[in-house]
Amino acid sequence: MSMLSELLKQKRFVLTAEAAPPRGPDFKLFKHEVAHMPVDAVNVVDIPGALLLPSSLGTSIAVKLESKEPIFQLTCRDRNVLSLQADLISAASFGIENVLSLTGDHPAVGDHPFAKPVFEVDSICLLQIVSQLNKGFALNGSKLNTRTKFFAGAGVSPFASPLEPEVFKIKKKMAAGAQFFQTQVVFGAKEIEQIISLYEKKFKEDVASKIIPGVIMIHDRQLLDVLRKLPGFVIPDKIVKRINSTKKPREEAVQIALEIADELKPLEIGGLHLVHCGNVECLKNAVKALRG
Amino acid sequence: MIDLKLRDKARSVDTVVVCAPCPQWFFSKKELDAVCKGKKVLTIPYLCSGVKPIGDKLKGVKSAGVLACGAGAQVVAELVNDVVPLCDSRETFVRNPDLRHYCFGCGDCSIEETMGVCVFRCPKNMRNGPCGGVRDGKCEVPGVGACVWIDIFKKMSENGFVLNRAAQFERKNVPVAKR
Repeated sequence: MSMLSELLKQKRFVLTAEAAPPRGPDFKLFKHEVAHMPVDAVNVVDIPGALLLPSSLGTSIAVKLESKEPIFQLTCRDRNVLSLQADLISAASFGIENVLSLTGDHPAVGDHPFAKPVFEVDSICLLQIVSQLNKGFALNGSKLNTRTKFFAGAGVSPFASPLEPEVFKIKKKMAAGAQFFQTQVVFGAKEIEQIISLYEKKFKEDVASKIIPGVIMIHDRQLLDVLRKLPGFVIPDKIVKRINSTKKPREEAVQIALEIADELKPLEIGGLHLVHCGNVECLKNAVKALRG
Repeated sequence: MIDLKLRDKARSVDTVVVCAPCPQWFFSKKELDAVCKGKKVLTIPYLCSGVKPIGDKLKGVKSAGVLACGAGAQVVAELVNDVVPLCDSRETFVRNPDLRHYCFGCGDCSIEETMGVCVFRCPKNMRNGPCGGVRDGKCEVPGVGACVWIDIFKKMSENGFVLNRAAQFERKNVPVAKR
């Protein structure tokens, strides 16, 4: 049983962080950083935004070897059903239990726009594949020598507009086996609140305790400029101003994250996903403050 | 070529729209007559030219079975709410270059479940609803424009999610289709 699933079951406030694999085969610094992350689980991204990074399976194994619990993000962009199942079974063999099923960004928006998109299945079909493996069978019905013990999660996009189909998709994802939801980074409680209220109105069941919203710590002005150029990534002017005018950007970044966390907490969410953009000190300070 | 799988779904439609001349190349008269029996038959040449040449020929049609490739069926679906494809295309010869992405001949046409819009028009082949990248109903991939799933969702909600053969949006699609 994965620790993440236990914590969510006990309704403990879960803290996860994002570990982007390093840009190259040198994992020394990365491993050191991961070992010092004071969080419950570490998300290992799978070529985010179609920008080339080492594979999430290999990096998840590296995280696991540092005795941290990885959340293995798996996208459908680069793999057909054979490869998806092969990666999942390999992950299971290394004791990786948390899987976040994502469809993935289209290569056209990434740094290899000429790459072939696969997208044989989408995130909901992938969740069905994970459920199938958990029963001890492959997609074609053949039996595995033992069943996998995956704790599957899925993504929620709070900025999708219109938002209503996204709410239906949460329901579909749950039916397909998703047990927790992580979101992209938010800068306030408005979007998450909207999703939760729409869902609970429509389906009359609790979803808030399964949602782990993302919160970013922009600890650097250069980083701010890079992030502002990303497509679809809108940072409110108020926050941009605060980061630009402060003399201590690191402290300010943590402060902003904590303020957003305070806004989100009354929604009775399952936890927080902290995106620390490579600065472990920021993460440590934020976790310290959140854990009290 | 177009597969000769004439579907028993034809029973539930009141009109059969036949795209001339495409299907006739592949269907025998006997087979065509069996499908069209008791139905109003409309023969329209080259559905794949687009909506414009059809004009008001489909006025008043409530449900239509379409004997054409997926592109033809999707053109009809833009005018008629309830459309059932009656044959499976293995290959297509779409005339209008703007509609070439409408059908790639997967041979497993089931657009009646998605309000007459093929989900494989989505660059990410989303089979279960729009992805999280949709903004104001637009696709995240540059140059694509409107999201097909938002179109499907709009049509479904206009019809209360229960229009005849339209699949419920809640339904999960199977992982892999024959294609």
